[in-house]
Amino acid sequence: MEERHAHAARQEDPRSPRRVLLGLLRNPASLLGLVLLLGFVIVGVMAPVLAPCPPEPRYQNVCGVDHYRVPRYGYGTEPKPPSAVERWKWGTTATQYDIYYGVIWGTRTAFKVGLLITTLSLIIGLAVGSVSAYYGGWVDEAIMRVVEIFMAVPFVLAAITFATVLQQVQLHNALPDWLLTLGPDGYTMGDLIPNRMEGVLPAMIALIVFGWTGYARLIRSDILSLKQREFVWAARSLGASDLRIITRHLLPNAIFPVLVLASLEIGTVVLSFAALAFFGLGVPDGYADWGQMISSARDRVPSLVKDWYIVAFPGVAIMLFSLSWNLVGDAVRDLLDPRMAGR
Amino acid sequence: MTTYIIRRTLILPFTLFGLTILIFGMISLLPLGVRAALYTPDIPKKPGDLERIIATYGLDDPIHLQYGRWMGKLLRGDLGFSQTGKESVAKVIFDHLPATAELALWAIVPIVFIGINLGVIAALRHNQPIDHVLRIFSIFGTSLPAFMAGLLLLMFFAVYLGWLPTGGRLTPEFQRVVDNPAWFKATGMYTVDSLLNGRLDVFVDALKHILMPVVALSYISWAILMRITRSSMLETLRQDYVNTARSKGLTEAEVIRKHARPNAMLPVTTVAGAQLIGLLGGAPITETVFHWPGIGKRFVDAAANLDVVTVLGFMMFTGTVLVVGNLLIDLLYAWMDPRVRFN
Repeated sequence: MEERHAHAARQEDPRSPRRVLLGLLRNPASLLGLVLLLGFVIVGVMAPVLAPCPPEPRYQNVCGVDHYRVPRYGYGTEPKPPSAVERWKWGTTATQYDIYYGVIWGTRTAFKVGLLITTLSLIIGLAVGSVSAYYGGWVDEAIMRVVEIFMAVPFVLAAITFATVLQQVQLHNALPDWLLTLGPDGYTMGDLIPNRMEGVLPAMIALIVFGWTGYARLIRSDILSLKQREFVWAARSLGASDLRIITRHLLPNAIFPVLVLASLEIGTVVLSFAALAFFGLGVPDGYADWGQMISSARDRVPSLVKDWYIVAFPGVAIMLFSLSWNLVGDAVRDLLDPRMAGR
Repeated sequence: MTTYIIRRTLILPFTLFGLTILIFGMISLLPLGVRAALYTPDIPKKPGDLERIIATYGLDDPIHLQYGRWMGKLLRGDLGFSQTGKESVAKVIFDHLPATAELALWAIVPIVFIGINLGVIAALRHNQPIDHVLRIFSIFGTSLPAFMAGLLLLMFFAVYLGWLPTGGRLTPEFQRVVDNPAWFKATGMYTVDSLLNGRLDVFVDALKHILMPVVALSYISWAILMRITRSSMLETLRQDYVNTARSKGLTEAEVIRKHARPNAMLPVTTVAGAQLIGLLGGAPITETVFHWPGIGKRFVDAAANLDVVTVLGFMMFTGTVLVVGNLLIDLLYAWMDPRVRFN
């Protein structure tokens, strides 16, 4: 560790983590973003306190078992307005799901979905991008062409397509037999892996499969500029393997800007996920998710002024969430971009 | 320049080939019963049906044979049969294309004129109040998900004020005029056809219907283009040749018009092109919110009904349009940039 930081010796580098963090705290816009994000984290952590599951058995059977299943008050088709005395403080959706409960627990869904999708696409992107840059030549050329193909179709469109495909796939037919029969007697992989993908899984996989390309390009350009540096030659002449050079020397020195930019993509990822949920793809009705809650407004436009609350509460949540990531993201991009220094 | 054009054009078939591999890969994940819709409009119902379809169309042949057969159909413009549309996918696309094309054409106007001009204004008034206002607009613009923006526009202008219609392309009264055999159908775009038919009332009605969808589809692009233009313009204004132009006695307006603006537009072109192409990616959301019967809404409806063959056909079509579109933008960019043109 020590030696790595020593040769990275970039005390004056304005892109160092310390300088970026300081810059973020000094800028009022990004400070506001950070405060908002902290607020969302607190709401997410405190969800069981802020929106507990009602104690009656019929609710306990739903949200007591799985917190992300929103309690439902009846089976009508008209939304109920917010009320100070009733259980539904912020009203209910058209299918009678508690909006307050959904918005609070939806915060957790947003973080969960955003973190998971971003992390997994980042891992794929880092692996592909660093291999592409390190080996160069025709490997690089071929990988970059593949990246272009994945980027040929707009992200949301490709994700919708793939999510639709995944919902139809019968996993047991698609996976090889030896994998399904793997495992000790009585417990095979076939029992663990469900045949059909359900719930949030198809949408998440689709967003990952089409979401890694940007990171691959970013890390590639960073490593391309690093791989001619002396410390890489030194490591190679000491007999370090390719894998070791990539993982121990190149990635640690190139990863910080990519990591920061990736973490800021969480806002965008959550918006894309919400868009899919808005179409009714990916999240079942009654799951605590902002996009899913707003989707019921799609067919109720003529009465939306009267039923404002079905759009307003989840809508404000999603806007503030995305706004806070953008506020921080804008400032970080300026701090990381050397051309913007001093502006 | 010529070599660049040739090299860039030669990549096109490779990218398109890659796209077909990607989509056929998704197709081959599908269960046989679903895949049958590629070849026949019959849905297998009786026990023997599926086996007969598999045998007739060789659905259990080796994968490369199936790919070859599928490619052959694709080259003839045959994308399979739409289970939701009860007709061929190609026909479904063809019927819904004019509506989307009309939307995209109208969206170009505000993107180019509003986005770019606001960016130039912000750069010229750098760090003055108008610059800050425009930056705030840009951050809010990129944070507001398109479906929220659409719903908010509808709630305010259509439901609350009642100024604009809540959805669709025409009021029923004019729809009958358009569907009449006597109507001269040149493009399928009502705003264009109505003028060709000399029906100003239809034109006004079509314009009223398209206004909000255009704003909802394009406002994110205004924000993005504004931001790009602003930073590119700021960058250019600090260049030496701009100072040279000033020092040889040109007025500031001439400096900006002749020297700064054209050069600042280079990076803007790429982004603007990407945004115009990205309109196709935004179409599903906008068209769903405004019940606009274009390919985007049709795509989402097919996805919601798990009509995978239609969805994949749409992705193939959109991907092809975008790959070709990207090529045209790159060539335009090369033609605009003297450094590429003379190299």
